[in-house]
Amino acid sequence: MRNAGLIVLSVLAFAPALAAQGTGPQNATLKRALDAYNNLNLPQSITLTQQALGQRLSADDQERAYVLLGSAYSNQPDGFDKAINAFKQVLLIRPERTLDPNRTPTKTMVAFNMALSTMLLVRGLSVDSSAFVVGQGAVPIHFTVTSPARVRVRAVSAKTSVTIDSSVQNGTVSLRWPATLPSGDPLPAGDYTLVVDAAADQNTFSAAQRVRVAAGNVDTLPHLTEMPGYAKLPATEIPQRSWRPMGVAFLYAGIAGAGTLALENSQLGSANRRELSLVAVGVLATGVVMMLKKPAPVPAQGNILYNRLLDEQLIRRNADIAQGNVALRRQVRLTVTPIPAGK
Amino acid sequence: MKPALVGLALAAVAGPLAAQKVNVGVQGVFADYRELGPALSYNGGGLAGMAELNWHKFSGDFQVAKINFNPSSGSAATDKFTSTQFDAHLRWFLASGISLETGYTKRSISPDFTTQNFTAIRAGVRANYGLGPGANLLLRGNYLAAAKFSGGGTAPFALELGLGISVGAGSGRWRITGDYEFQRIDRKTSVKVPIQQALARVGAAIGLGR
Repeated sequence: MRNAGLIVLSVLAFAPALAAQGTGPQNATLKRALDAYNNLNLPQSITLTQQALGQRLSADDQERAYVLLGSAYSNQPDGFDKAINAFKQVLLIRPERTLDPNRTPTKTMVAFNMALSTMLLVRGLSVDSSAFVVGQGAVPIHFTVTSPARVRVRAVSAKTSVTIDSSVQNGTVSLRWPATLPSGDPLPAGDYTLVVDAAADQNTFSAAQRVRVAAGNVDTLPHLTEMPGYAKLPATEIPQRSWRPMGVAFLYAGIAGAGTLALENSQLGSANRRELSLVAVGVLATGVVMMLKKPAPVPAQGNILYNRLLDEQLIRRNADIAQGNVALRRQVRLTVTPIPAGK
Repeated sequence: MKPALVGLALAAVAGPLAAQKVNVGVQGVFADYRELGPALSYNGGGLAGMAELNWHKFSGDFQVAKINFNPSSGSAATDKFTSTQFDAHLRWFLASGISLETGYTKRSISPDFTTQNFTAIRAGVRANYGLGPGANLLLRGNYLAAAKFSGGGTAPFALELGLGISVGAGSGRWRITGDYEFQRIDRKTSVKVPIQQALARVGAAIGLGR
């Protein structure tokens, strides 16, 4: 009685998951089987599903039928193996099929996972969009192998076939594909199909994903016109106002005046010194004016040396950039994007 | 006539030398001349011309001045005279504005024997100080050697002192000049016959070949 209650609860919980598999079955028998399942009449649901499978069903209805059958069997006392077989059929029809673990009864989930582990499948093959310079990056490729197998990954186009990886894998696999030919040259632009072949004993499975490879030039660096973070300093500076011009003018005029006084011959009487006064006044006035005048800019040697150093650094940096650009112009930038199925 | 010829010669020389930093100018001259004693003193004025050449560490200038002297007030002198003075300075730059200077000076008097014709060789030092862009001060002192006079005699002690100012464009294209020159010449014949001259030149100059 207790087991029957649990089944009821688990089936009720699973019902929305079945209903969520699309718009609903097209086949009338399958619809009745689903109704029986929803009414917890699992034996009748199994019978009707098997009848439906004997009829002509679309692929979607076939998948729905086997999911319904697996779900129903997994909740029957002796139906676990049959449930596994039903889920195997589901995976053969649609290898990417998953069940929501939050909405699926544990028994059903276990049966589904058992089916997965006994089959060789490559699921979840995906390629991340990426853009990189050849030799400095790679395309991430992810997929899952459901059981241990020799896995060979290739990129195939009409003209080229390049092996990306060949190794024994199991579980989640992540690869990084440099998108180069065996010679190391970049892969020619175009559409490619990434094919994952898994083989174990007699079992084989293949999955494919189409990608588009576009080639372009690598961006070059612009030349610098100034050093980032460093500004040139003024080549001239205005010195502080100084009393020196007036001092020197007084000194020179004083020496000339004192010299004249000292050299004057007393035998010749006292001179009127008109000539000395005339020039001395001019000298002193010039000294005062030059002292008061805003000093003229003078070369700032420190700044000039600093600017020269900046210029030399700038020349060096631009030479490095030019050299780097030569190398960059030889490089190829690849952009790899997955092409959605059906396009 | 002679000073005019010398002036023309200076102007003629200035042209070809223009590429070597040449300044030429004209000046007004004021002078005070004394000889023998207080009773023989003159004041005068006139015109002067100059040409200056700078070449590497060497520089030189030539000046010609024509001054009309009149007896000064209180002087016992009665005759006026004209003095034509030619000066040459040649300099060799040492360092820090200091130059060694040599040169020649000649003073011709007209009419003859009013005062003394005079020639001498000068040797001394000149200091040049830049007050600022386009403004220069100069101070010079020279010994006047080998002095000769039209009336004979010697001058074992003869000195010359100079003060100058020039103010103008920083490029040197033009400038206003002022020069003061004081000469003391202790001339001796059988007696002491000292000579003293103070001279001021104020004028303008233009620079060529800069």
